[in-house]
Amino acid sequence: MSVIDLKAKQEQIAKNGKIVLLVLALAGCILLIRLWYLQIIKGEHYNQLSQNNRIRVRRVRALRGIIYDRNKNIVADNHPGFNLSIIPENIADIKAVAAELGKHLATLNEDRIIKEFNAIPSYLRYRPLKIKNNLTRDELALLEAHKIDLPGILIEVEPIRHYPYGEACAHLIGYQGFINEQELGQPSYASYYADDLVGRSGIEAQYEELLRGTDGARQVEVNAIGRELNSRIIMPTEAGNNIILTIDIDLQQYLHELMQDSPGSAVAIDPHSGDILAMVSSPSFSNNLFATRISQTDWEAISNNPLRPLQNRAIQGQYPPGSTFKPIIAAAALEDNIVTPKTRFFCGGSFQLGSSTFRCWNKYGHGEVNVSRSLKESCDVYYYQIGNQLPIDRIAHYCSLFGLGKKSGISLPQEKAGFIPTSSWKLEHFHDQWYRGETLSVAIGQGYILTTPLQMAAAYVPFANSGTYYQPRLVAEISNPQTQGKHSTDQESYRLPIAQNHFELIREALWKVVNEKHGTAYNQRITAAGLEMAGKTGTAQVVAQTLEEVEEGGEVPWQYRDHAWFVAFAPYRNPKIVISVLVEHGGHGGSTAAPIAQQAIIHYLQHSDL
Amino acid sequence: MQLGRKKVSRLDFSTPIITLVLFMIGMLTIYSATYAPETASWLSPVDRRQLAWFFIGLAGMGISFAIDYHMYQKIAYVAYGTAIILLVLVLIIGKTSMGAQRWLTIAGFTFQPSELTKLAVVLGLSRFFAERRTSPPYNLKELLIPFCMVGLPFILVLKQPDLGTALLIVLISLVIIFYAGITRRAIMTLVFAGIAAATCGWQFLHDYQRQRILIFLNPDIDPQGAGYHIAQSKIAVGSGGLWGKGFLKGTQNLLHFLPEQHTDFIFSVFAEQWGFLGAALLISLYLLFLLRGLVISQEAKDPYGSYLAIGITATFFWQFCINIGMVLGLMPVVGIPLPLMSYGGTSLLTSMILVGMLLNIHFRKQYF
Repeated sequence: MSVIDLKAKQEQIAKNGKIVLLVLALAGCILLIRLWYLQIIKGEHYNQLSQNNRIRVRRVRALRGIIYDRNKNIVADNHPGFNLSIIPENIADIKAVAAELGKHLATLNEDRIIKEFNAIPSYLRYRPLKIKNNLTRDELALLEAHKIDLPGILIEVEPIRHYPYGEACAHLIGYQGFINEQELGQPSYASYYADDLVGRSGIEAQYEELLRGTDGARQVEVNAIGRELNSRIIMPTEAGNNIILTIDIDLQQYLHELMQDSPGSAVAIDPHSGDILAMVSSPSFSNNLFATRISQTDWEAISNNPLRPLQNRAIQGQYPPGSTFKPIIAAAALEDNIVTPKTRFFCGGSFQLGSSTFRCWNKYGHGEVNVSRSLKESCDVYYYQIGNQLPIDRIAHYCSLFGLGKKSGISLPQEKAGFIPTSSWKLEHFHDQWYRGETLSVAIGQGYILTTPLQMAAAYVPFANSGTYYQPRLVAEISNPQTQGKHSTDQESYRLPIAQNHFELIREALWKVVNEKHGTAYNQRITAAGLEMAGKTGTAQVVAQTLEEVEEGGEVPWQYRDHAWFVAFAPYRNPKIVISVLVEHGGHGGSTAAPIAQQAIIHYLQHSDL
Repeated sequence: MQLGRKKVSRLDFSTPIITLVLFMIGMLTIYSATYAPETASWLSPVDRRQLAWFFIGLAGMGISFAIDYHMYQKIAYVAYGTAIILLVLVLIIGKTSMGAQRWLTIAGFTFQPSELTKLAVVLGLSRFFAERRTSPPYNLKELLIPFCMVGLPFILVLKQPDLGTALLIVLISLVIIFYAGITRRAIMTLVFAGIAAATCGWQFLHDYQRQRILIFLNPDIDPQGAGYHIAQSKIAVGSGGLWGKGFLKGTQNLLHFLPEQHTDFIFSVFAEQWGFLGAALLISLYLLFLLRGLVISQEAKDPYGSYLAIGITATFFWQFCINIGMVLGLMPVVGIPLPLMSYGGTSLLTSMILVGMLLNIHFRKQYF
């Protein structure tokens, strides 16, 4: 470094030193003036405040939004619950307090309390630590009686979530769970506290943000040992939004009872709006168990159940649709001119493609079959013939129109998309071309194809209303109790590009399935005037069985039995309900799934004032 | 080291004395802040830990004093590079707590590399300006490298996210850059760029950070959190009046109405007990300390010593201003301790090491 540079630098340092000195003096002055203002000018004011400073601010939990069914019946609301908290700063000996509390409360975990107490950082010791939710009347009485021996405890009334219909719609409404450490760290949960509940499934999870509301604050005057003298609200709570669902709780409950003994799912939809009238998944669980801290035994009973009651089979269960898929293939074949209403194929009990034999469920064959009869008697050979001519990618195209192979977009978390194979998918995943034989399986709803019970119900809506697909909808309206503002939810709907007479033909065939002799659901026909139903049975293979194995008969183990499907709509003339029923391992659709749909339809049409 | 009489005369006595006095005031205040009449053991665990850290701090101060500060110049860029690597490591494998990734655990010790970064940036910038071959004042083009040297750690610390420390790094650096010399035109450009950056930056802030700034502007919107701190702190300070309530007589503090009283809000505990007279004296003491830092910087033997000393002084200055400003309700609540007084081992140790460096520069000066 040259001498000149050094000198220039030193001169610069000397010069800037004066400016820094000035800044220093200025900063000092500002702080001193502020100090003077607070301590001398406003001193008396703050002194007054400090003498009266027995004030604590406590949080007041906002009421969570209420959930209603379509007829304004409450399906989720809040009940008052009594919570026991301790105020850490008023507790001198936590072990003694925990032991004393343990005497009155049988289920109290003393070690956990001591651990949680010790983990509280010093600056949060003024905030109550909740140690027990939902005290029973007896516990409450005991604690009130011994309050004098228990300094630093606090009994608060807080809303507890209550589900009047419990198991009947647990999957739909969902439940809440305690927020975990990891979530607490995320900015999106910034307004949550350690003992808060968040929606964990169903509507409770999907609409967590809207349902939650905004907590308020209460100013509490306390005496020297922390006992509350009086309080006032300094920030009012804002209750969460109320949600009106499209479901009919009466039908929901009825379907739930019908399904109780059969694992599976049933979904009912209003064919003129796409509104979901009922959505049942079986087996169910009681979501009320989650409203307070769920006991270990209860949790294990639910989570260890091999039938997985927490799974919502209506949107998460994926099954081959079996023969209930045939009307869609029929519509596609008619529209693509592969068959006409008059086309007949001969069914001799099997169909030969190259060296493979594809069998009809009726090994004696159906004889000459047209499209109407193919649906009525569910002839497989007729659909093998179509599959032999209709490319898989055309099938995928029509499936997509009927809402299959993609999420319906229903407002519930964790919906599964089902699956519709395409030739490019197979090339990508198996590095192999698509074989025509595989299309034959798909044409009868087997093979790679997977659907959910919700998708199948939605796919039959266009058959019921002669051509319009409605995106299924679960939430009708969301309203804000503060602003009285309401908004209904958006929903996609469109007319399918399929000729009206094709829909009419298939509709009629579906009527015959139930109402004509030899129809696969003839035994389940509804005879009451004006309530006639139309529908389609389906049997989804769980494991491929050879004819020999089937003929050997004997008892097939339950878990290998086929899934039973039935999708129906009624009344036939002017449908008011579409329903899909799936019974896991139920065998034939006509005998296990159809009776459930039939009873639900009768119940709905007779009980709801339409 | 053998100190001759001549060398002894070069020792700065006022700085260590002020340091000691500030620590002792801090210690007494921590004692009173954690004093609980019901459990009357004479030193709380908090007090004992702070005392222990003081002795560790003394050792740190001795070491940073003993090593010739020209050594710091030599290792400046290595220290800077290490700090950057650690910051990157924090983002990859750091420990997450309360939503922020700020801590690294090495061999069982958990520490916060952003603390180290402050010092590393001061060392790095000082070396850059000391070895710069052109004369000041510098224009924007000549300042491109130092701006990058500040910008990189700023972004890394901001990502953790630790807005408080990130801004502190910028504020400290700006003092050094200004002190080294900057053209008037560059200052104007910087001011405009700063305003523009702040406007844009608002969009990149986390919701909770925006919330803090909004709460600062209107504490009533968060009566339980930051707003509560500010309100209670003002009551504590204000109720101290002219004379104060006396040692151990601060009712605000005694009833534990003030959270974080012995860390970030220690000044309010002091001001409540000692009133305006005590608080003004304490502020004056800090100003005197900062003035000594400025003088040491002015008298340093070479530009490197000057830049380093002003960087250290700036570190103390901003922490002092922001902390007291926050306690007095002049600034938003950010977690910055009051140097030498707040409870906390890392903060005390770092402060004492910095004091050691200041003394070091003073000791090795030669008068112009």
